[in-house]
Amino acid sequence: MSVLSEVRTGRRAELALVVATLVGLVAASFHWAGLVVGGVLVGILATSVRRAVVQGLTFGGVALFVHVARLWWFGALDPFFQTGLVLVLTVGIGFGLPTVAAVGARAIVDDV
Amino acid sequence: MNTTTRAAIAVVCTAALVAASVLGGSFLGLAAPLSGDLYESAAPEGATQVDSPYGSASVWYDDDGVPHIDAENEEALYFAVGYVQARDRLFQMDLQRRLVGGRLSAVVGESTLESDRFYRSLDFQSAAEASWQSVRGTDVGTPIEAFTAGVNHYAGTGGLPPEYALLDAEFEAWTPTDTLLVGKLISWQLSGSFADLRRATAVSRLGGNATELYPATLDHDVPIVRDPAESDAAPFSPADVVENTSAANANVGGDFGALAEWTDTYDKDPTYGSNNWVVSGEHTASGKPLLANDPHLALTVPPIWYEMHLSTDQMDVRGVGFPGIPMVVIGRTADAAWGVTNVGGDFTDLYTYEMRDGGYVYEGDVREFDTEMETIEVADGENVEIAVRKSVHGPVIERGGRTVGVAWPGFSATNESLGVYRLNHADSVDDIREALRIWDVPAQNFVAADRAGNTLYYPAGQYPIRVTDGEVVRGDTIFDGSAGEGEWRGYEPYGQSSWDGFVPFESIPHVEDPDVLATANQRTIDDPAFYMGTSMTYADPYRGQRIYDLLDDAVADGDVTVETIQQVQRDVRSEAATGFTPYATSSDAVAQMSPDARELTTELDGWDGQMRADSRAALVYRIWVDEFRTATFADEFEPQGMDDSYYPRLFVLQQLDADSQWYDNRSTLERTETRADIAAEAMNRTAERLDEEGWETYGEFNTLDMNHPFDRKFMNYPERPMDGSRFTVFNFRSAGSTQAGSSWRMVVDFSDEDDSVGVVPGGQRGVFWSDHYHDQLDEWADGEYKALTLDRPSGSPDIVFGGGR
Repeated sequence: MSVLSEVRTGRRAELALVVATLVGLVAASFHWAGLVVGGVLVGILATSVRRAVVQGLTFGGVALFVHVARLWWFGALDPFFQTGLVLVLTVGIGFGLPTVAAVGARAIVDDV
Repeated sequence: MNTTTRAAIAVVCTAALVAASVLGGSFLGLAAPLSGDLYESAAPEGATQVDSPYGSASVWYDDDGVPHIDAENEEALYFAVGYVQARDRLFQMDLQRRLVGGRLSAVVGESTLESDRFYRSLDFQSAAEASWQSVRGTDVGTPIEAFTAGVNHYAGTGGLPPEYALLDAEFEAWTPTDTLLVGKLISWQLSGSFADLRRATAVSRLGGNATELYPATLDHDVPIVRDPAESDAAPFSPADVVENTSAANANVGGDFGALAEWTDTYDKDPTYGSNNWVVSGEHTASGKPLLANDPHLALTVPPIWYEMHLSTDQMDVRGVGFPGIPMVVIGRTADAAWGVTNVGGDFTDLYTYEMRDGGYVYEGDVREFDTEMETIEVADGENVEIAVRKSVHGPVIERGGRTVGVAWPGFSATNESLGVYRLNHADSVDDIREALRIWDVPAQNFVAADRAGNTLYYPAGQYPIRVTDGEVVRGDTIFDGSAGEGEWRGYEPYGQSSWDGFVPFESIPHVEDPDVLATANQRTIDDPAFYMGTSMTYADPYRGQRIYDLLDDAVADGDVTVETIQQVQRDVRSEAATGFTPYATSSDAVAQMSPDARELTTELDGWDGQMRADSRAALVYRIWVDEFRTATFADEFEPQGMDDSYYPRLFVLQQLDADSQWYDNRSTLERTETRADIAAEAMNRTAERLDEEGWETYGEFNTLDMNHPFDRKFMNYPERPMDGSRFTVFNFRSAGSTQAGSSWRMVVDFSDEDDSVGVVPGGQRGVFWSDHYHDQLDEWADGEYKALTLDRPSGSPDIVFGGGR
């Protein structure tokens, strides 16, 4: 079994996914490209391209959850939900970038 | 999945990411979760320790977001003021200086190019620079510099407001001149006027009869100073200023329509106005004076005013100022208070020229215009070059083949910042009077009171005396500048004026220790010793009449309390409505109305002019009077290409004879209409309009709808129906895109600290994420208040400024 297969399916697979998610979130808190980084990482760890879609969406969901929680902490949640198109854009970016990145990464990195 | 499919997926995904990055990079940077620039400003401004080169200061924000700043010295104080104003209102400050500096297009684009052309043409920037040179060596110079440093410290270390992310723009460093530019903007909006262009054009197009629509004086008996004998003005004759006097009135007639149309957008807004009054301790329950003020300006998002409480060992002042200006403009100290309304006088003159050899003739000589080529930067567009020209009178503007020079005291170096600084240190009415001695623009009706029981009314400002051939003339005309008509002695545009030819401070009509005195932008006094203004510059008398009626009744009923004063501020009875309603309900008019219109008039039976949101009668009246005005004048004005900005004051319409020629509809040659005919026609239109619009009550028409300059729903304030009108004391009017009204309501009572109150229409912070974005809006709309005491919140400060010199 290759190293990547081990990380994808071994007993530390879930830990790897958590670490990838955390790295992605930290990167995403500095620049939108961090969402792509996170997507790539969780995509590479996916066991299949289909699974990469799920993990990309999940990473995006986690990023959006953290984003909303942060706004709630700042007391800015109500204005956020009134931003209309901006809200749609944020949600679209949150799910879209990581998912596309995850699928693309998984398609490129099949196994090593 | 085979290799080809995976490769295809990889290519598509990579292409999608590259495309998103290239085509939508700005959107990604703006709105991406966690890192989007728009969300930077959502975090509460975290800096609780700020380095200050000026010394220590502490800031406590109260429950309404009002900063209470206490500092060891004034420089440290104003550094902190700059910091907190930038924290709460940076984009608004930037927008204002760009507007008046003619630099909006650099961030907004071509849509603001005409605005930039206008403001550049009048060169407010040079006027502000002249003011800075004038005041930088005075007591206010160092505070302005410290304020500037505070603004820039915040801009360099704190989060920029979300508007910068939306515009993809950067903040450029604040300068002392910017503070004075904001002052120029406010002054221009309150006292710059091109009314003479409109009147000359109307008379040119409609004939000499039109002069009756723009009388020298509105025929009412409620000037601010009701009894001229009350005035304590020193004897004054313009002969003291010039060699001799006469009533001679030079007049350059003609059609200035193109100029009038262009300048109308930037002219003094006729819907602006304000109320203030003072009641001396002679008539109050406490024996201490009561003072009230509510300036009526555009209702903006965020509000035009920013409330502050500033204290050092030498001063303790609370009230509101304009973001960008470090001092309190309206407010109170521990022992004195003052409020302002605009003097509806005439402070702008226009001059035509005989052009010759590329220059202009002035008193027999040909002079070149002082010309500078300037570039207006346009975001996402081509930059535009304009020639900024000046004559001896000031800036020169041209449209439609007509050229005029513009004289306005504010083009000179002015002292309003120093005047406000001194007001902030006032301990008594005497101090306030001394502060006003140097007040130049905009001329303001000051009412003042102090803890010792003194009161004062002073319409401070520089009042020009116009001189033609050594004779004093009125200013409600366009002068022949080449012939030297209408000169202002002692006035130096963009330089230091001596003001020698202006009215001496002591000779301005004023009242020492008035018992009851109210101002609402109406005529200052009957038969002043010098020309002050006309019906086109002074407000209609409706608010002034109502305030005096209410205060007189209150005084007659017994001792006045702070509750009495608040009730007056909440009053929504329109004297305009009570004056016009009989026209709408006259039997002659009703007899000619459609059945639907006739039914509407029954709503007005017994109605007392209360402009309440839930009133059907108020709605009927409001729409009818609009239609009545249009039906009266549109048949004359519209065919001549003049819109309603040329119409006369509403009071002039009310005073027209029932068979005035203006009621006659020019399109009906077979008959001659009278007031009753027009009233009936207007009510018929009112019925049609109500049917079309579906409005049931006044509040559905008179709706609070305050929008952010970007007009994005999430940045706009909540909408709600409103009481009040342009002519009620409780002032609010919605007409088209116009939202104007009481921009700050204040009552000061020296007998009980807790009784002094104030409220702004919105909130303290201009960042839409903030809890203080519009947390005072409902209080304001409901006529409620919050405390205006000199107590600061207990507990640890929110921001501490430290360091040393």
